Formats: sequence, C-alpha cells, structure tokens
Amino acid sequence: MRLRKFLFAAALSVALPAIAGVGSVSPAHAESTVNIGLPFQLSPRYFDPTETANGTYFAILYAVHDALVRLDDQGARPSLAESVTSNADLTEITYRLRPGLTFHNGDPLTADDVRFSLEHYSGTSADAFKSRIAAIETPDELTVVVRLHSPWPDYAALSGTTASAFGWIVPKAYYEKLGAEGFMNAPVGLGPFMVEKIDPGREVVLKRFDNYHGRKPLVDRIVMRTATDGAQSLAQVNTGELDVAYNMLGELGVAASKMDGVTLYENPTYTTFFLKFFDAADPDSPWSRKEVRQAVNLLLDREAISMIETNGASPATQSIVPSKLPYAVELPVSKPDLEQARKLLAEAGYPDGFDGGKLVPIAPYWRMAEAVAAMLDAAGIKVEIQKMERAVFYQKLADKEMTGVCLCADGTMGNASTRLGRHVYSKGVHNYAPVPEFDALYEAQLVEIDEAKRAEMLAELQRKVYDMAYDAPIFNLALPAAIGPRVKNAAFLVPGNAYIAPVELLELK
Amino acid sequence: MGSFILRRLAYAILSLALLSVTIFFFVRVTGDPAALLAGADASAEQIERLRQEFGLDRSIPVQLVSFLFDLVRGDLGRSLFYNIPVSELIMARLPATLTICAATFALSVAVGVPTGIWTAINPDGWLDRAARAIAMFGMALPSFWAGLILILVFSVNLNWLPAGSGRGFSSVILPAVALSGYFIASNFRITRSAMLDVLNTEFITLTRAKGLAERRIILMHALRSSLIPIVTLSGINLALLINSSVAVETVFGWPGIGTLLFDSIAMRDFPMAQGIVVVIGVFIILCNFVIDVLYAYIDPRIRLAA
Repeated sequence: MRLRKFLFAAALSVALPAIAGVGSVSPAHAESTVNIGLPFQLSPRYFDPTETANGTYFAILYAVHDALVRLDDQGARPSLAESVTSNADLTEITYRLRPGLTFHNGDPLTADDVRFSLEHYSGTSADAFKSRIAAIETPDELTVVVRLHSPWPDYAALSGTTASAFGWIVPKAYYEKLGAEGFMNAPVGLGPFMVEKIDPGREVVLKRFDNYHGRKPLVDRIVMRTATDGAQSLAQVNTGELDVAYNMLGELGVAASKMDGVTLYENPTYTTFFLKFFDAADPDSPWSRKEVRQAVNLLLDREAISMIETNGASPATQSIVPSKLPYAVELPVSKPDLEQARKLLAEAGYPDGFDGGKLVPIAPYWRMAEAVAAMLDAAGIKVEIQKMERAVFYQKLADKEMTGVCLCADGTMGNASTRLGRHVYSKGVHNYAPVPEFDALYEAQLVEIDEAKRAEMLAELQRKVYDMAYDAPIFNLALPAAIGPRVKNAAFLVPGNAYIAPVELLELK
Repeated sequence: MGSFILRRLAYAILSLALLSVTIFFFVRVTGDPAALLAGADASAEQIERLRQEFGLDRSIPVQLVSFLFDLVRGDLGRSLFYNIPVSELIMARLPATLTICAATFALSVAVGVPTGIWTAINPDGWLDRAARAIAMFGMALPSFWAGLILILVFSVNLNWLPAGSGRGFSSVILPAVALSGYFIASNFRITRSAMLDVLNTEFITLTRAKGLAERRIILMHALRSSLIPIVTLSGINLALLINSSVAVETVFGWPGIGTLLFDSIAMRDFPMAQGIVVVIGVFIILCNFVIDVLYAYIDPRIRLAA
C-alpha cells in the first residue's frame, strides 16, 4: 500500500504544480502595457531608419523614431520640421527644425543630425535620392536645405510618406560612436516611445518618451513580440497574452470574429494583388496578345477571391494604383464574364485555351493562386502553380528570370507615378514588358511641375495600362487584425500602412 | 581506460567535423539570404551589394575554410539577420530551451518511471494493458500535432493556459506536455522491461525468501538493479529532447534555440543556422561520449571489446 502511495506521489510530483498553474491565464501585464504580436521576425535592422528596405520597418519606426515630414492620421505634415518650403521650380527644399527637440538619450536635434541621416540613408529609393540630390546644406543649427540637380516632383511623395524612410532622423554623434551595428541594438530616436529592452528576434519593450514633441502617448509601455504563426497569435489574443495580432487571413479572420471580446479590424492597405504577365513581351507567347490578357481580366472573380482571403473585406480593383494614392484614377472593374472571355480567346486564336505555363504566387498566398488557376481553367487556360520560396522569388524577380504569370503584390506608398514606375516603366525594378508609349508618358510626367498637367498625364498613362490589360489586378488587400478586449483604439490610422500608426494614439480601455 | 577515452574523444571530434561541413553545405543549398533581406523591391545590384557585405560573394571553399577556422577558435560568426554574434544569441535563447527540456525531462521521469514500476509489479493487469497501449500512442504521436491540439483545447476553448511564452510557469505546461509524449512512453517501456527482467531473477526470490518487505525489495533491490538502462536512456533522451524541441518551440512561439533554428533556416541566416546545429551537435556528441565512458566504467567488457 505504501508503495502505491509512493508511486502515486511521484507521478503527481510534476502534475501538481501544473494543475496549480491552471486558470492563471489572467493578464500578467501592467495596466497600461499593450502587447502586440508582430507577424515577422524582429530584426535589429528594423531599428535603423537609414536602412529601411520595405514597409515592415514602419511597424517599429513609428514608435521609436520620427521624421522631418511624417504621414499620420491627418496626412503628410511636418513633424520634426516646423516648416517645409521649396522654391518655384522644386529644386530647393528647406526644412526649418522645431527648436528644443531632444533624442531619447538627451542629445539635442540639430541640422547636422538631419544632414547625416539624409546622407547616410541606404534604404528604399536611396539610389533615386543620391542621383538627384546635388547638395545638403546646413546654414544654421535648425535649417537644412536640400538642393536637387533638377525638378523632381516625386521628392515629397517619396520622402514624406512610408514610400521610403528618407527623412527619418538618427542622432549623428551617437550613431557614429556606436556604429551601425551598435546602433541597431541600442537605438535612440525622437519618437513617442524609447527602447527599454530588446531581445533580438523575440521582443522589444518600449517605454513612453515623456519629452516627445507631438501628441503624448496614451500607454506607458508597448511590448512588440514576434508572433509569426497566425493561429498561435490568435490563440494568444484569446487568452489575453496579446492585445493585437496581425494577418488574420482566411479562416483565422472568421475564427477571430467569433471569439468573445475579440474584434476583427480589416485594415485597408495599399497592397494591390495582381497577375503579372512576364512573357507579355515575347511575341510567341499567348500572353503577348491583348485579347488574352483582357480575357484573363474577365475570368477573374475578384469578389470571390476577396471572400476566400479576407472574408470579402478587400475591395476589387482593376488598377495596380490604389484609388487613394495621389494621382490615381478610378477605373471600372470588370464583372466575371466567361462567354466574353471565350470570345476574346477565340479572337486571339485560342478558342480552347492554351498552356499558360507557370503561375508563381508570392508566398504564402498559395490558396489565392489555386482560386486563380481554377478561374483561368474555366476557359481552358491551364497554368501550373509553382510555389517558390520567398528568397528565391525575390531573387528571380530582381534578376528578371521569371516566366509565365506571377501572382504578385505591391504595397509601396508614394503616388501613382512611383507605383507605375516600378511596374510599367521599362527601367522599373519589376518591369518585364517595356512599352515605348508608356515610357514616353512616364518620363514626361516625371519632370512636369505643373500639378494639373502632371495629373492628366498620369491619368492617361493609367487608362492606357488599363486598356492594354497590361496586367490583371485583383484587389487591394484589407489586412485583418485581431484586437483584444482591452484595446480602446488600435490606431490603424496611417492610410495604407499595414501596422499600427501613429503609435502614440494607441489606447487601452 | 585512458586509451578508450582518447579513442572516443577522437570519434567525437571527427563526428563534429563531419557535422560542421555537412551543415555548411546544407544551409547553402536552401537559397540566398541576400535576396530575402533585400526584399521584393531590391534590384540585382542591391542584392549583390548585400552579398558582398555578408561575404557570400567569396567562393564556397574560401567560405568553408573561413567557417572552420573561426569554429576552431570558438567563433560562430555573426548573424546576418539579427546582426549580432551568433554565440550571444544562442546563449540568450538557451535558457528557454533548457527550461522546456528540463520540465519535459522531469515530467517524463516522474510519470514514465513510476508507471513502469507499477505495471512491472502487476503485469498483464488492465492497468498494464492500458499503459502499454497509451505508450504506443505516445511514441507515435507527433509532438507538434499534440501541441496544436493542446492549444486548441486549453488555450482557445477552455482559456486555461497560455498559448505562448511569457507567463512564467504556466507557459511551460503545454509545451512540456506536448513534448513529453514520446519520452514518457520510452521511460515507461524501458523501466517496465528492466524491472520485469530483474523481478524474475533469483536474487529477488532470495530477498523475498529472506522476508524483506515488498517495498524494500522493489525500491532498494529491483529498481536499483534496473537503473542502468533507465539512466542510459535518460541520457540519450536528454540529447534527443533538444532536437525534438524545435517543432514544439515553433508551435508555441517559444523563444528557445529551436525557434531560432527554424527562423534562421527560413531567413537563410547561414551563420546562425550553422552555429545552432554545431552547438546541438556538440551537446549530443558530448552526451554520447559521457554515456560511452560511463558504460566502459560500469561494464569492463565494453572497454575490453573496444
């Protein structure tokens, strides 16, 4: 009998503490700490604005750093700058800094910090800035003058939005003392929150910066934690471990909307999903025929795809330029029409369809690719889905080695010009099929400083792209996020931005 | 004994060298980290610049020699993605992995060993049959699947336990339970088997004939004689645990070296992936080396045969 008791006690020796832990899921965080799950690996690189390579960086930048001109809930407006002026031909931009601003470490903000940050910038569009900027001058402690070689109307679109982080400022002396690698691991900025602790790859704890010049943050701390698995992060919102979890796509969004106290916020982004025809420039390829591409546009049931991915929250579109970007024009969206599509295919010489080669979806949108393939198959266009790992996808895209059709996505900010420039302009990073007519219009608008004329040129270019069915846009992604019951305002307030911003407006109940 | 240890040490070093070279090539066939870090908008020139920055533009033999040379000096390199020394990050994450492994190890011993003893004392009873069936299930159950089910039941439906890390002890429970299925089952089976062997020996019959209390016979004589295979298995399990934790850590978002390894491979962080595999390899080789030496110490036949 004693032996039985001993064995039973031994078996329970581990189980008892476990049982004691049951039911202790009540939030352990302090009252004014918000826990945010990040859908990406938290790299120290994200803390250095001068390296900003994509929109992901802005999930961190809006909390820790600040910019001369910053896009927030009230539009693009001077933030660190008190005023921004330019000369008549847009070749000289003068920033007058707000006096008395200090970095998180107490260093004052000076014109030297700004010049250093601008000159040191190596992120998105860095080549464009470097080739167009003639000089950066600092006539006094609070004035910075950027001189351009020639008029560049897109300067503001690229430097005052989340299109790039040119204009986000780091402290020169501190940065030089620590070096780039040191700075990434102990960042200091001018933003509403200062870094309290970084656990690389896992989490960052941010503490309210009381000397922030703008609106005062409404929470004491923010913990941003890597939570790349959607299902697991949703479970954490359910248990209260996280207050916000991103990327609740597909069935996760449905599950989130059914959870008690959890709200599903469908954040409208400027990420456009579209089919890109890599072989359109090859006269032997069926994709080079306008009728074929028009047929594809008629085969796509955009609302059904939106329903599959985001429960219908993503609005259908037939332009790669989201309608809310500057210079965008509204273009009609075709309804699915199988008969008309077949007719167009017959006109192109493919009455029974054809072998369309590979359909390469951007990871991890395999489900969307399946839906697209099925829709094309209805008219006999057979495509083979080729899942490609992200690194390989990016590499092949950059090397222009892709063939067939791509289910691509572009979420960069800016304006119609910057968006079209990447895909339609022959020198664009993602252009596979140059069209001289497009190039002429694009280059002309690029130096046009008359707003009205430029708008008309860009509208014409968008209409031509549409008429030619240059690509087959699907929808503008509304990215669902699960919001826990403690959150009063999740502050998804920067238009088109996938992440919470401006972070100082994040508020608990 | 000295020459036996030296031979084993030489095998261990050779294993480690082979492992290092293998992992060096394996991570490189997965793709290019520069393209991934540069992002979708990067031009071929920008990707090439990053490649140069990471030293990936050098030839593979040059990279290999550099890697091995650094390894000999104890330098695991610098993470491409996290931009800090690999060893620093591994040391930061190791405690989390050891916590989950220690909890699993304790759970597997506390449940598996007593159950094994109990069923060996009462063989072929209903409890024995049930325990054997459950053990088969436990050995076959993939830990990542068990983890998902546990999250679904205890975090999503019942809301009793956290689904992730960061809530102290209660965060350890689900990952440890998910990971322990195989280890509880293996401890149960080896204990039962060893105990059954010993309980059928003449010296146990003798102890009973001498009138010793049953509890004393089981715990002081039978269990002690059965301990060698149990301890051996525990040592092997300890090494296996580190490997098995990769899947469970990923499911629970547990901030250990398992998650770090998974992310490093996903991000093509070559130095990080190499470093973690080497560290895990060293741990396993060390465990095997200690077991070999202990065996030889306990049983002279082994060292003589060697």
